[in-house]
Amino acid sequence: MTPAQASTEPALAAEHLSRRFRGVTAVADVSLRVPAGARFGIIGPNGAGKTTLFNLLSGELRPSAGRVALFGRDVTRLRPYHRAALGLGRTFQVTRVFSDLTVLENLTLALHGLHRSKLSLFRPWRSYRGLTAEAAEFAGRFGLASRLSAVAAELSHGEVRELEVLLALALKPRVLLLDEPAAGLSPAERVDIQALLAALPPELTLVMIEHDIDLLRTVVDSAAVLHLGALVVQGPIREIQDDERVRELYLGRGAA
Amino acid sequence: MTSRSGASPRLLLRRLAAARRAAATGSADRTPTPGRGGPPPLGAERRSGGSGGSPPRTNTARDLLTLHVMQRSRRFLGPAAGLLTALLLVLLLQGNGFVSTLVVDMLVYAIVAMALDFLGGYAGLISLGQAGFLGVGAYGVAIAEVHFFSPWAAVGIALAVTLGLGLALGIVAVRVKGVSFVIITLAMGQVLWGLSYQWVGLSEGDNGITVSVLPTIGPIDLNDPLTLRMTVLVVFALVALLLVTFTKSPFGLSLRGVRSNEARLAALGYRTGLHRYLAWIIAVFFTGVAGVLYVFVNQLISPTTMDFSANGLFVIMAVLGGLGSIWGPALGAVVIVLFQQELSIYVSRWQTLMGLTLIAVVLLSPGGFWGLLRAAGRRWDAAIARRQRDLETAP
Repeated sequence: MTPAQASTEPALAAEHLSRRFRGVTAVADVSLRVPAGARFGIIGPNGAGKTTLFNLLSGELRPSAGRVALFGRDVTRLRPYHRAALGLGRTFQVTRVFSDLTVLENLTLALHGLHRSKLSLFRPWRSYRGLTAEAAEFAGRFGLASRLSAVAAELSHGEVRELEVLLALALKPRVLLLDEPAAGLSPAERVDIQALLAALPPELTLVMIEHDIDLLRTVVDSAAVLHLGALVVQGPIREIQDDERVRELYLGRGAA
Repeated sequence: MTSRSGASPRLLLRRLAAARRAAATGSADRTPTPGRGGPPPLGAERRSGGSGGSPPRTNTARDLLTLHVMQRSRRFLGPAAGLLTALLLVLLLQGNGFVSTLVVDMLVYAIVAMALDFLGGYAGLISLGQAGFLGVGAYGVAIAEVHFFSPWAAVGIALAVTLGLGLALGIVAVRVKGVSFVIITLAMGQVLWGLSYQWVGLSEGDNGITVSVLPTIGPIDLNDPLTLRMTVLVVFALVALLLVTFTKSPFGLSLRGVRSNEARLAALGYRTGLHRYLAWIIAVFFTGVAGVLYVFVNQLISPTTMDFSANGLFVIMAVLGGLGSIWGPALGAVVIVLFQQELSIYVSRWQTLMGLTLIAVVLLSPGGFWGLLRAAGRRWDAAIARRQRDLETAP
């Protein structure tokens, strides 16, 4: 799977990563190398361990075995906030925004994340004009510019998912993990998110869980297929699509 | 308090002038004054064109003025109310009678309630051991002064001990959240109460410690009752303004983020444990400050000050006043002290009344007293926005 050692370190690497929950192996010996600037997809049926793998990569969970490296640096023991500071951003499958804060407060909070100003006590957060203007600019990337003072709990499902992606982007990550960003979105909102993903800077490394192969195909260039926690196949998206085993997983035995 | 600043006065004046000009020339005939019921009969509308369109015009001018007044009053009502309250407090504290004693008690308890709110209403960590730290501040002064030092040194020692204890206990307390945090702070409060009760060598047990000599520095002599009362007021104002400033800072925003969704905040690069720890230390320290004032005001500290019901009372103050508002819990302290010290004179079952009040407030206004004020403010904002929209659609 790993031919020759690449000259540059991969942006994100997992080595023999495993996680067991009381005897159930959710992720089994997964090894991945995502080069910098790649657009990488992770697919697999429900319960394949995709989200657990994400949680291991972002530090929400500690692996039972194996290691995680970010730009060649071993981050296996580092907590989520520390990995975020090293440039690893993520979204969550079950949307996690600050639901009792406004859109502006959500985005401002995200923008302060990497600055020492997040511990500042005496200056009102609204007086950080640069950051609040940037927050408004971020909101404008989706149709959220007019919703800045809306409390996140009042947003529509689609808007919340968009806010979730914006929060991760506000961190200005070098590696971005997206956990089903288009889940439950309307076709129009899907187009929005597709456009946003297409407009991401090319040097950003993107790893994305997505069920919708059609959407995935427009964003990623290679992908890995997980089944029962193990890596079944990995390669360019074109090959994955036509792979016999993948068809079997998704369509059931005999359908191919 | 929201970002809605509305149209600037200059802009309003310009619009007012434009409206007058338009009225003078009588150029426009389409002035759909909002809220005039259904459409007028067609013929009447047609005939009025060009001739005398002035009545709706003056209406618009008056509307602009009303809007302006509404916006101004919205902006200045808060500060004005604050100033009036401050003035009232200064006046009430002049006398040596019962009222000033009552007000001083309110102010001291309000500091504790506000500190509790900073931790509970913002970071979502409700502490049921706050009376314990009040006791640490108070006993710190009493013990240091009786056994070893000058009054001023005693104050420094008391605050240092509270801070140190907060730093140490925080390492344990901040590891947990939700109900576990409530229980662990309750346990801490009870341990501190137990120490005050049983460590007789230091605390003189049941009898408590009396403090008769208060600190003096230059013209400020706390042994003078009026100076002491004013000092309490100043310290209260300082703590309140500091806490309000903190809640509006990026750190305050991060605490609301901690309460709302801690995992999300961590994924954004926040070391959330550190933020909770700092909030805890701030709350414990200010509670200790209240403890110092408490012992000066009462000149006595005994275990009953920090018993279980005192802890509960502080939480009730915060909830009644409205968590997450700082000023609300101060208001809660005022109400509870009134219940405890005034109502109890006339009604023997004042605690029943307090319980019923609490139930009513929690059911009718989950944001407490302050929640009612906030709702009124929001309605006002909405009214302003509606008027503004109406005026913009009818130029």
